[in-house]
Amino acid sequence: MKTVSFAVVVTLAVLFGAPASAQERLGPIPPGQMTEAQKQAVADFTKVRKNGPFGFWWGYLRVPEVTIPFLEIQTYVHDVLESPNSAIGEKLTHFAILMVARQWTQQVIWSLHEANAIKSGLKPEIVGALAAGRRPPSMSDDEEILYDFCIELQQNQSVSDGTYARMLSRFGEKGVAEATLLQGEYTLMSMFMNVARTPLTDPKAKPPLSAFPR
Amino acid sequence: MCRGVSGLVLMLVMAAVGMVHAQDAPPSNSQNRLPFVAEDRMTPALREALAEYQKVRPDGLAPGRSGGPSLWTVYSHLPDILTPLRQLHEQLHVNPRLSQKLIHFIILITGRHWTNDIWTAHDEDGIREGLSRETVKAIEEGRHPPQMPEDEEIIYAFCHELLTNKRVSDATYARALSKFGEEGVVQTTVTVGLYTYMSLAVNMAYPESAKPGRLKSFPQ
Repeated sequence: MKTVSFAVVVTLAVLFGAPASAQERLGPIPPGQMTEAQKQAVADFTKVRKNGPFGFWWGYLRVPEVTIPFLEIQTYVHDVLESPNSAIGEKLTHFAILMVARQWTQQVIWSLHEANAIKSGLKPEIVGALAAGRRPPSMSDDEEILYDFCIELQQNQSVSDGTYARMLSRFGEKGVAEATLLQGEYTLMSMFMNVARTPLTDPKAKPPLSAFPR
Repeated sequence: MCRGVSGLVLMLVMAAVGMVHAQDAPPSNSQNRLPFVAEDRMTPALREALAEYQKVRPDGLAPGRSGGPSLWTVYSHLPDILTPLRQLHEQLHVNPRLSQKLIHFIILITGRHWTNDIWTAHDEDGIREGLSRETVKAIEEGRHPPQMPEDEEIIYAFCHELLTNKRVSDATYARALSKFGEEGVVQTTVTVGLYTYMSLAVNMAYPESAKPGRLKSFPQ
């Protein structure tokens, strides 16, 4: 019922030129419409994140068995990678995430990580350059090594020998795996949130990233 | 069967660059920048994740068996990630919300986009599940496949827009929603994402000099 009526709404909106494109596509599921599997996934989710599902998590809940594995990976990113317990550390974790968000013009992910990136030591001019699509100036050695690794993987879909060697030498195998994980995870999330048209947490905020080309 | 084919391809690659390995020897570094964590350096967390993996997929992509890098060899270095990643991949086999034909189709489109040799593990499976050889060949060559049935055409449009434009248009989304429902749309997006995840990890782990396989890079 919901599926058919949504398709009708979108079709009519497209036909009559209404701004349907701004609408969130995979939003919250009313409790009365949840399957048992979805209710269980929501309960399991809420054990870990006390406020329950929000934003893009509702999208995953359409296939409830993917929800908790994704939550476990996200928990790892937040609890381990964004901490001194990772090989690359918190600042570079946010930096890597911002790079993916810029690549996919993913407004929500960018907004969620920009402030913490700066708070954890990334210079505002580096963040600004990234937003503008420029190679950031005056990066530290660590920042530059990570930047080259991530940007090559994003743009060339592979990493040159020299860049790999520098990444391995500075951050070890664990650091290489961590940076690769962030590329994979945040590319997946960016894709998902772009499809779902996940709105900004503050619906009145201006989207931080401009689309290219300009 | 298809994993055997991809294993054979990788072994041929290794032989071509002059590497010969005894059946049981761990693969050398030349074809894999980030080999599987050595036995004597395995943490309890890794052993536990591996044991779970073997329980569920005893015949599956045993880390390092084929000699080249895999998702599992890369993430053996982050054992906390192994189990959720395995569960996400399992979902595609156990209870996908799309036909197996379409799952293989999505994987082929995604593998082609990232020029990743996961491709060779899914082309024959896709054909066996109902894709035409012409369609698979067109994907390999970067062409829009001719004369697709409606379900393949919608999936192709959805995946192609997502990978190329980083968005899915209202019109394509509406068709996918109408044909496959919200769970089909989510399944499609998650599958593209998961195989992007895999492609990035595997591509990263190959050194510059290695040729990953049959799929040619663009432009040619």
